Amino acid sequence: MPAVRIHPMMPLSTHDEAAEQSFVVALKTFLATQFDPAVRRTTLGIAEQISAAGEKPTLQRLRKRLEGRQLYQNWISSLRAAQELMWQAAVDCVDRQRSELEALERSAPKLGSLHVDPGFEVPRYLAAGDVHMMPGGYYYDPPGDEHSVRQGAVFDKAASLYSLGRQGGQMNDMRGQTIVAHLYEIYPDLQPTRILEMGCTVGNSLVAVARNFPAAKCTGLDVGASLLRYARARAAHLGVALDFVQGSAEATGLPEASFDLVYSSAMLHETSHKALPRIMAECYRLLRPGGIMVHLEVPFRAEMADAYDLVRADFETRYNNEPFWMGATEADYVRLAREAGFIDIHAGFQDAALGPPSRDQVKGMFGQPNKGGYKSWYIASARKPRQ
Amino acid sequence: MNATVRPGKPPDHRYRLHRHRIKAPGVDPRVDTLMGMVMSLLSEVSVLRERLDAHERLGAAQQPVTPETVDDYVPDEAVQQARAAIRQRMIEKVCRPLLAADAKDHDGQDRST
Ligand SMILES: C[S@@+](CC[C@H](N)C(=O)[O-])C[C@H]1O[C@@H](n2cnc3c(N)ncnc32)[C@H](O)[C@@H]1O
Repeated sequence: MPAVRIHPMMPLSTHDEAAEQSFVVALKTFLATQFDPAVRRTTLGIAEQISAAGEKPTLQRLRKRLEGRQLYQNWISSLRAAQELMWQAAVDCVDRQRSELEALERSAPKLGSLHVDPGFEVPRYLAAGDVHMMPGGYYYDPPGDEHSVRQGAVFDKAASLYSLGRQGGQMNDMRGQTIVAHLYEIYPDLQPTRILEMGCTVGNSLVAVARNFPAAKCTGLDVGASLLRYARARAAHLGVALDFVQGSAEATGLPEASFDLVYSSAMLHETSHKALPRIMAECYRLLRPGGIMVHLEVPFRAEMADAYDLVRADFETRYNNEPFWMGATEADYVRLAREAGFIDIHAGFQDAALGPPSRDQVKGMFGQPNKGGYKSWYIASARKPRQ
Repeated sequence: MNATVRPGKPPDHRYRLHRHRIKAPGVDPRVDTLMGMVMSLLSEVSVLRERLDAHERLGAAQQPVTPETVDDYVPDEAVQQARAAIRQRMIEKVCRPLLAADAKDHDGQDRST
């Protein structure tokens, strides 16, 4: 059977690495389909007992009763072990072929650009712990290696494994397509020629957005040089010219009024309460009058959470190093956007787009009930006043 | 999953563990350590089982069986499915006790605490 390489930068696996990666995927699937439901049943049972005693089943009360239970302890321990195995499998595979990947970066078509800032200081919320247990997080640049593509390669490899095809296949571009569907439906007049993605990681969403707006010049911003070096090469090998800039969404350093569209995709929940208004203000500054801001987030809102959702979110927060997971799902994006000066504000659930959307098929995709993970996303969007 | 390359030299720079791993209240750190070890070991058994599978299939096809031919072996769809079934059985077997931890077992004893 011929080797299928999703795109030229995607790290290849040896026979044994592929076996290890398949194992991790199967283990994570087992935990998600067998173990999560068991913890859900137990948690909902405990919540009922708490309610029956006339109290509110708060996270604190739930945890107090769960922490003594072996089922819950096993759940925390095995979820963490599986997540650690996943990253180690990706890291070992990438580090083995480090020089091949760096050569592929150098031989990538001369498309797009990369601007790194050696003096850049990573925001505390990203540097304090490695987000979702990825060794080195988004910011790590292997010392003494200015050709490194390591963090990007590790992220892309693990995402392609872990998504199990749910995020838009191994291109991992479902969120990008979903943002385009939102724009087609809610801001049909928008014809962007300058687009910025904040928190672009390996450019997986940005490639999809760029292909839907071929006339636009697209820029991706993120915190790690190694991450962005990989992203530039990945896009170039796919024939897409993207410009990448190292910086923070809170203060990008990019010129004001220089974009028609500024968006983020699954970034806000990795920031902080303090950062949110700053990011909104930065979007406002970067947009030309009449320009559009879009933020896509996980399909989950704190006010709709049941007892198990709270316990699951708590796992993400404390053990999966997503400290702002709950905060982001509680945040009032309509208020934040209004306070930043935006008008024409929308917030709600958006059906996921599974491929490149067409303008005549997007009607009614926004403002739907939440259909759950990978079927819906939460979107907040707005327009900067025309004058 | 497609295998296309052979293993090379081991990685020369390592950052394999994530920063900020907090202790989970209630979880015995020794059990946590063992959990990591058992899962890693199971992953190694799974890899070994697939190498053995490649070995058997090369042998059955009267192909030479060397470290290189095993590394180069690419399982087709049917083989991948057969391997997935073995993997699944192994995971269910090893993980069953984790899930049983909260159930009232067949002997009626509540092992939930
Ligand atoms: C989960 S990833 C999202 C990946 C991609 N946008 C997608 O849709 O698949 C979140 C990204 O946001 C970035 N990020 C978080 N805070 C940031 C900030 N203040 N400035 C720039 N990037 C940030 C992280 O470094 C990370 O790469």
